[in-house]
Amino acid sequence: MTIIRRGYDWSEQGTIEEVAFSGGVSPDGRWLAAQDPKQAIWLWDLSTLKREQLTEAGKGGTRNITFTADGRHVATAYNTALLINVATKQSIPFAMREDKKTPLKIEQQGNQVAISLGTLQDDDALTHRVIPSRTGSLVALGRGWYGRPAFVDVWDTGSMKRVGRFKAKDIGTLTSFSFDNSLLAAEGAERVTIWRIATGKQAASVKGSGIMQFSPNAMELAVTDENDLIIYALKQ
Amino acid sequence: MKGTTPLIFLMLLLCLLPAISQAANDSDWKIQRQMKLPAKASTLAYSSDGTRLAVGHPDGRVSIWEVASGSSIHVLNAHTRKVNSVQFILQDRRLLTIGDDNKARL
Repeated sequence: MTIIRRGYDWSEQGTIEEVAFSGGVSPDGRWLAAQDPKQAIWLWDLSTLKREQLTEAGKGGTRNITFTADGRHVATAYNTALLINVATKQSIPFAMREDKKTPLKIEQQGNQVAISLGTLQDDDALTHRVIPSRTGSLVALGRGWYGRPAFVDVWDTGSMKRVGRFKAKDIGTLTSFSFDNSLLAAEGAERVTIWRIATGKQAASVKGSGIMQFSPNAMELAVTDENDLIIYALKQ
Repeated sequence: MKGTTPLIFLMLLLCLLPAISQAANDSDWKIQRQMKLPAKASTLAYSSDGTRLAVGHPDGRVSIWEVASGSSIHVLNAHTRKVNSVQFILQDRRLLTIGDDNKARL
């Protein structure tokens, strides 16, 4: 069935079966990178709907799969953040832990074993989402232990160094970069927090309960709040 | 006692400064438009030219919106379960959606 309304043609062009969780399309619109139900990542050619395998099965479900702006890497997270080279299929892990000691300490005296959990360090926290900026020069890693406050690390993909860590009350792991890479927004339980990346300072927080995205070409932020879709614009 | 009043005032001002600064920043972001969705949102995406928004819903529908007018362009019955991902592709001529029904639709 073809539905045409207001000049747009919303007829279906094709369906891909066995796609699970999430996926992202390459900047040229040719490839879809997505997981199958066995948790392997595949590349589907959207013109032929044929596929080739990018990663093995069983790495775990991921909340996001996104191409970088140059189309050369797929950014994803399986508790640790990964950039997967599309051509070579090699994974590049981010260096999270540096030389920190493990938080787990096990002591044995006779037949008694004591396990000390110690203090969990931020650098041991899991990474749940990897969101590249539109230019691809930065990525935001949504991180945190389950049941603990989340935080966001922003990395420079050129130098592979962390450029900032962003924390606020009740934030989640879904983030969005402004079109000029100057601002970062993060979802929250009741409010969306916006930071200036260069200074690390919070710029604003606006009402909204989760899903949000910056406009690709304007200082505009789309936020949902229950059944409302709110468009915020930065006053010049 | 008189000497402590300005000190208390100064301390109060210092405590309130972050809140005052935050309020000033928050006021820079104004609601430009507000639309009523057919259901809660599970995902959303702008078109590459920023003129349209696609919103995925937990019931499998995808609603498409014109940002400038705030009007709904279309509602697609895209999936039988929650929509996880929406993305405009090919210069915004196509919309790709992925749902919890294990399907990607173009």
